[in-house]
Amino acid sequence: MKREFASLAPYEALHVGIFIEERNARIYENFAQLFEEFRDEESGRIAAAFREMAAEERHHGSVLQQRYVERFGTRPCSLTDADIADLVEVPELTDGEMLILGRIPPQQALEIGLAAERQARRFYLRLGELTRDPLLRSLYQEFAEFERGHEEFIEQKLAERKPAQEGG
Amino acid sequence: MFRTDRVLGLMPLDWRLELTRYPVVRRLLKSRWMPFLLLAFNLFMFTVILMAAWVGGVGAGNYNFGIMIIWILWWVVLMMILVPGLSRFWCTVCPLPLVGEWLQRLTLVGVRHDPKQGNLFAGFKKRWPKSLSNMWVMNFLFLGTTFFSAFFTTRPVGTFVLLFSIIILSIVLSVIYHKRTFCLYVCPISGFQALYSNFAMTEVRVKDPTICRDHKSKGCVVGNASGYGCPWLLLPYKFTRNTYCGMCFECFKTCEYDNMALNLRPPGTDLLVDENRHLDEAYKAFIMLGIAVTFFMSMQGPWGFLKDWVNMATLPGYFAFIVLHAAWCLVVIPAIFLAFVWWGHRRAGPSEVPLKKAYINFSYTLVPLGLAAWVAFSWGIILPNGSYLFHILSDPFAWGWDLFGIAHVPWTPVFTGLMPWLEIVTMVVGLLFSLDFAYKLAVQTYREPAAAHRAAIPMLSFLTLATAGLTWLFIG
Repeated sequence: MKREFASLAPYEALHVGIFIEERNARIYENFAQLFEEFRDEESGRIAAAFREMAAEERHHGSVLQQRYVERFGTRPCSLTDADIADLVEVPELTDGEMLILGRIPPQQALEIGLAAERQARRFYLRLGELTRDPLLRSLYQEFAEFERGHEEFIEQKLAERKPAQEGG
Repeated sequence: MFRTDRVLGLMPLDWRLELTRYPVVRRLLKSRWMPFLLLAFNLFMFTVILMAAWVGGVGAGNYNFGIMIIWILWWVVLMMILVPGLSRFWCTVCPLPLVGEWLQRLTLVGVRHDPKQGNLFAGFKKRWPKSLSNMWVMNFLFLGTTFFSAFFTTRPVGTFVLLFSIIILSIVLSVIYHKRTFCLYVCPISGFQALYSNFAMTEVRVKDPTICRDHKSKGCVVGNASGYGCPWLLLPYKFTRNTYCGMCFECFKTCEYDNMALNLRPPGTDLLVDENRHLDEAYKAFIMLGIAVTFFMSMQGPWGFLKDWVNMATLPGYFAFIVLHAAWCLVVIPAIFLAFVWWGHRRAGPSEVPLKKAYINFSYTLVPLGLAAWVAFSWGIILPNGSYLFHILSDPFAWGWDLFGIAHVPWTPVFTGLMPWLEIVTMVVGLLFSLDFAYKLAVQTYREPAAAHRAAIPMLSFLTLATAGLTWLFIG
């Protein structure tokens, strides 16, 4: 039986958060692998964008791991993202024919990540508003801040691409 | 009849019967021997066809195994049964790209997989140019092959040249480009199956999208040790129409959650999927309709001069055929269709829908009509000529064999008296589906019901007139 994210104890929420970051890193790695297979310049750029996002997710996963140890020591927890009913921050390629029709520009790859991060931040902010537990609230706010960090990272990447595109 | 939630006012659009809920079907589709065993059988058949077309038969072609199997049996089965019933099942069992795929995978049945590198492929694995990542190449190639229709369909060596060229091209492209690039963007047979499979009564789809949303590794896309990532470059967990699904069933093998399904469904449901509709697909519909008319007029019609033109009796006549046929498919039909769409667009009143969007959307109404025209044309092939098949099956190389004791069955046209009625019924059924989907597409395009009704009238008129014209042609 899967659990709602809102029902998690603080140590469980943090533990699941680590797995969400790791899961997303793998999803982005898969996207990157997918585009690398094409072996053309543009697909290479898309793959690189996804790899950067994967590295960023992994980095955040490590930071969360560190926080877990700081706050909860070696307290065991077996809960992972797979045990949670809510879908938090799942990046998705949504057009089933996008690879066939070649209609995915590199910035769309970044926008897929951006949409996932925004959805996640909204999710954590809402949880923060709903919970009465001060420890959980601060944790959710921290998660939301993390996602804000991801958003900024991707927005910056998108901004870097714009001048390049405008310049031809 | 006109209900947006039911096909022909009868079958709910969302009705599905999952065939893979039956363990035997599921086991079959998950096995790596499927479709290989069917491919192996077809490879044998095509080897005989190529040999017969090269060495056997008689000059006239009527008793040639290659011509008979390809143009009497295969074409008719494809148009009358496979495409409307089983979508792109022909692509499942098509042996033409088999050698190319083997050169890529270096295995026929197994999976070459490395945990770090994913599925392993040989060859240059290049990506097909983005500007050609559509149906235009297939459109022009298929139209181009019809310029030589008399050569391909009446001379054994013509059939050999066509099939052998496709095999060679598929091998070359498979070595250079990745996965099923040849089938996706080049194969002339693939293009019309792609469009017409939207009408088919079967589909491969995800059972529960939420499972896929939560699934990290997406083996259906990137592949795993159990199978290859979608060779047709689809994202199987997200695809919504049959167009580009070659029904290779790799996604059944790679899915760790058994979340892929083969469904029966009402005909035509994909015609309403408003995703990735483009002018190349609209033109595929025009070209297929145009070719059906030209083929009927030149092969089954009473106009002798047309037969001479197509048969290259004189060079000027042949050039006239090419110019008129190309203009008919690429200019005349699209222009007439545009006039009716424009008329409907005006009748709809001011709207934010661009004319091009309406033109492309309505072009999908030609799928049931075009398919019906091809089925009606096929009656005229199989009923008068089907009995030839007994002879050639027993004596494939025309060397006097009698393998099954049926080599001397005389040519016997069957039910030819019924043919006009079968053609009329076929066209009427096609018209009913076309009208039904024209109305649904009008509602989808214009949203506002009153505007949709007004826009639909000219389209319904066009489809009725086109059906009347085709029926007159078939039985007149």
